Amino acid sequence: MSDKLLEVTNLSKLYKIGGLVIGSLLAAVDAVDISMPGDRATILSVVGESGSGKTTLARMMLRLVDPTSGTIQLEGRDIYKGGFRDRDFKAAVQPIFQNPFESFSIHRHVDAYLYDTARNFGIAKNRKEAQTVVAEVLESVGLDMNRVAGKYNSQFSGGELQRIAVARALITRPKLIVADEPVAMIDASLRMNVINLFKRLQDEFNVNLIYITHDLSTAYYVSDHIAVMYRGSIVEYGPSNEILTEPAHPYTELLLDSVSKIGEKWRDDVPLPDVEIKEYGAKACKFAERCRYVKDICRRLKPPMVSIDEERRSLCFRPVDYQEQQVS
Amino acid sequence: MMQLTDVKAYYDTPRGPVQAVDGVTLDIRENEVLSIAGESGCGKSTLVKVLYDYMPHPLRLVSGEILATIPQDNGETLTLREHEIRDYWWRHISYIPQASMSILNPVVRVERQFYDAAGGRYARGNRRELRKQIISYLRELELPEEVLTSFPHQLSGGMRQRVIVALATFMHPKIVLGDEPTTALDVVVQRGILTMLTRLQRQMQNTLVIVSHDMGVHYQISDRMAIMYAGKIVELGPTEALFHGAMHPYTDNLIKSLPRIGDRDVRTGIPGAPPSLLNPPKGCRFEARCPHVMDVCRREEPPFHEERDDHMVACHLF
Repeated sequence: MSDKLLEVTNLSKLYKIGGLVIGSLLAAVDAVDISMPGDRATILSVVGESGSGKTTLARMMLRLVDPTSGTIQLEGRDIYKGGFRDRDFKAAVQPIFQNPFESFSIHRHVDAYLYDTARNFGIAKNRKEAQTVVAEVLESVGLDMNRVAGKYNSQFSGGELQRIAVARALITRPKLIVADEPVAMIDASLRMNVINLFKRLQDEFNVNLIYITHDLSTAYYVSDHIAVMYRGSIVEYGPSNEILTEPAHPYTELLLDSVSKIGEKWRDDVPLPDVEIKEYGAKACKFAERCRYVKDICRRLKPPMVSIDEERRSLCFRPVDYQEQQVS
Repeated sequence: MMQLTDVKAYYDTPRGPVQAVDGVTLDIRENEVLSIAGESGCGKSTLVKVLYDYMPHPLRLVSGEILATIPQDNGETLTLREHEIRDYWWRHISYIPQASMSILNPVVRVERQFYDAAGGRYARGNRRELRKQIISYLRELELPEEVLTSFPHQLSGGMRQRVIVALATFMHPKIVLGDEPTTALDVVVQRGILTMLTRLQRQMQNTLVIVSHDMGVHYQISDRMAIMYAGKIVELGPTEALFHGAMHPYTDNLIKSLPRIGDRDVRTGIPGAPPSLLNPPKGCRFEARCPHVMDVCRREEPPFHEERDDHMVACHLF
């Protein structure tokens, strides 16, 4: 398996909720498997609604949160137990966060963060070398040194700041960037500048990207693969053009029906099971109560992860005609 | 229904006035869904505050006229000017803010908040009657009766927003204003609430004004659409016409930049950033980012005029 860039196996994170004595466990991430190939750079989108566990998943991949069980391997090495030194790991996997105005302090020049990164990771030995490195990464995100030097974060637009955050992440020459809702706070007219930058990083710098988002249309535009999350589980996985044009899982279908598309008005007859309902036991499909194709078996048993074709998987009884499966 | 004439509303700051709404002329019609689009800081929320006559310091109405003509049940028309509108909050005009925890009183059950909103019209003894009306209204909106005895924090985000919509529409106001009413909600919930809003509008035949940054929302719900840029309305027209034949270069490029599912053609953002509203440029405010910029754009402000049928634009190209 060492030819894979990233291999996430049976990853779970449980949070305790409620009182000291009774309390219950909430599976924020529930037995997730993901892999990214190592032979070429790819972009994987993780889409889902709030509370689906996509941010927890991202934080585990960045080593910001410890998993309860399961493993994450980067190029065949376990990121927690594989003896990664903190600096080596951070050089290989870089984060980009949602709010660019919070990524940079209002009291520091934004370029100070770039110099710090260059020095701390040993990319540059002195200020002069650092300057070359910083100028280089800024150029690769389409910004000019003179535009950035000695300025504070209030002097930039959200889109520019996010591009500076990307430039900072590029300094360590990472293999993987994990971006958690990187364009959610950015205005529509500037959003594509950041999204296109991700594509360029993939093509020109061979950087892999995990793009965490709730926005299906940018996920479709930028990514090679999409994983759809619902209440901690990946319910569907596959190539992005297939998933969003012919969804296999009823939840993906519901999401697609709900997106406010341009050029195609909502039909009135689509049932909208959007009222939140109580959690079903772990021994059932989590989506059963909202599903328009639900059958009895979905409320009794955990659905299997079914391979629909070579690359696509769906966590559902429907593709197997609601027949009980051998758990594999 | 409502008419704004050259309205200017500024925020006073130590560095000078921020010209958030700067010379907006707009007529809002009866029985229509009008939506206002624009990026953050373009003044769209400020415009709604002006419509709602809610201008707390440092926001202040600098100049311009606001006129609301509200048809009454008895056939007469009520005419309201600026600073009179607030006397008719809830009854004739209501406001739905962005989905948030902070709009409902956190220590009071939802039921009490309904009584407070409907307050004055009902004497104490009529509570039971009022409660019946509230319950039947909630049932109409397919909301469970239990929400009345709940505290706001016990409701999910989507449910809370539905309760706010119910509150805002309970008195059958003639004008409902919504400032990003579904932003920060999940798409499925968002669709549910937007559907609820437009259905209510069709039933009550009133006016719904929705502010959103999401162009998809505009396409789905509105009859007419206004595009704001840096404190001004730059384009206004029927929603379909705007999406299919945008005139202003900002609108045009904005719509072209939106990715669509099923279409992987390369999109590009608009370079640059909006100007500061402390010291906006003298001519057209989009001049620095416009691909068709001409000399005249830097010198003179383009007039906002009707170029095509019911379709207004402020651009020197037309």
